[in-house]
Amino acid sequence: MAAVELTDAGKRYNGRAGVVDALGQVSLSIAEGEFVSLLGSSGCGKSTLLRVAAGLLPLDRGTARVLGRSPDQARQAKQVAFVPQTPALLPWRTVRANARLLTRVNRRGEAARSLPDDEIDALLAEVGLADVADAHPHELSGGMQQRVALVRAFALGAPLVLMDEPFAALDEILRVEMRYLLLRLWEEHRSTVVFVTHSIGEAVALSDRVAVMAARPGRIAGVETITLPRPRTPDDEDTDAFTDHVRRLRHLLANGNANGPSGATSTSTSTSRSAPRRLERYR
Amino acid sequence: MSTTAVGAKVLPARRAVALGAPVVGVVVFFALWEGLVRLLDVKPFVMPAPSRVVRTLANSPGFYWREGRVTGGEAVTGLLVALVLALLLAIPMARSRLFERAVQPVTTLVQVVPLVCYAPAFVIWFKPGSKPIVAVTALISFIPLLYNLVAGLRASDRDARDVLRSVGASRGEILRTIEIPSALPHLFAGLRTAVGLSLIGAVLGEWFALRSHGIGLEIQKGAVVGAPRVWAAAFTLGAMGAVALGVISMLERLLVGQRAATSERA
Repeated sequence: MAAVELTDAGKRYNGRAGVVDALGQVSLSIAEGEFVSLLGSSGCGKSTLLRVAAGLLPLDRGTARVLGRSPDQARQAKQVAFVPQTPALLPWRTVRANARLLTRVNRRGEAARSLPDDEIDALLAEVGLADVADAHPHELSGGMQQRVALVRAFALGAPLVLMDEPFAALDEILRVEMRYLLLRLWEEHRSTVVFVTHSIGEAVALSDRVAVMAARPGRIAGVETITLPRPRTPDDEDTDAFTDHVRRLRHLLANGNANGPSGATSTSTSTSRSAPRRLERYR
Repeated sequence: MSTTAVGAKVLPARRAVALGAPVVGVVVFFALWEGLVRLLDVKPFVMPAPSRVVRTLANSPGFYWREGRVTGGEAVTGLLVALVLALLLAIPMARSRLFERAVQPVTTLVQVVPLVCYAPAFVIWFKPGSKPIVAVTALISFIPLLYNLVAGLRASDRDARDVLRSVGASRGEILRTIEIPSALPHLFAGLRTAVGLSLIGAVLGEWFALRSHGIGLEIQKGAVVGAPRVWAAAFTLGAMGAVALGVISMLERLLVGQRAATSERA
């Protein structure tokens, strides 16, 4: 059973500027336990796709299945943990209370693997937050707040974790630190992770596969399988294999945007004439 | 001397200045009033000096305490009724722009029609007594509470709501866990405005409700009882308002303290 199965998924927004095809006919299958990144420029439908899988947005066309159910059923059954771009911590709750938040709501749909309180405390300690467990979010740095958001998601024990550019607001040094922390948590919990990002390096460092998305209409322009061994370390980012993946993904991004709706749908190393200029955007 | 020790001395000094400034402001205001009345020899029936007002209060403290309690009780009851009604209406208004648009013309009408127009009708509907006073007070306090609550409920973090929705949290859970706590700073802003209005409502209500007690009646009888007693009643109302604002500020510090610290740092 696939963790996420999208078939000809389409989503359209009616705005003041007219109709926008946020998702064209997107088909994508993500296996259980897989780490898949959605990579693409702004407005290509990455976040829309993620929100559809989270059951937060209905599709206009096609079908979406999450762990064999509709996204809404999966959401009600607490099978999905969603990590938005901001840490979204509640400022009046302590770090500990924020980390436990998702285990305290919708108790009818309690996830079978939801962690007990002492294990959530242990998870906070594991990510270096034991000393600030009784502090409030405003007392933490941006990186620490994002670590609380990660603990909150993994504490739910949901088999599917959906992450919408969770490290976008952090500086590069902190981003690198956070991506390896995320990998450590993922390797321990073995949830399926779908990770939206603008960063090619981040996508390669984290993922089993990277789905490159292109805009107007939002679609999968290609999928790159990352062959780097696991567990991964920051040193892997200096290898030739890493650089090769980054280069291929840059070309895929450029081709996807240059070719329009009929763009590539598989891994490609070729570039269009306009590619070199467009590549600058993704460095 | 270490930097910390210097800092420790500077901070209480700054705190003392911050606390002392309003006291100095009040003292200067009343000193100017007292001085001008004496210098220009203003007659007490035109404008009594503050010392004369204080003497009037001191001559019959029991009377102002009793009458103040009546008016204060009406104001607080009206304020609580307004708070409950505002919360009940603010929740659907915050969730549905369509509902808000449907309700807005009615609330605007309520807001723009002078309160004195409603007061006689309330006396007819609720009979003379405290009920029409509470109704007038609730009506005048309702609008600022309603719009502050709507703004507050809408100000909650969308990402946080999505996180809760993504695990199937019910609307009630999202309301209790995120929206109402997020709305508290707005609610306290509304309460600060509504406190003054509730006292106005209670005084106005007493003028129409054929009551025999209340600080509003003392003001209404101004021509008979004389300016010093009217001003003594006004001082009583001012003191009641100041105490109410103090209680609200204390509650706000207690319930919204953590977020206040956040905004101070930002």
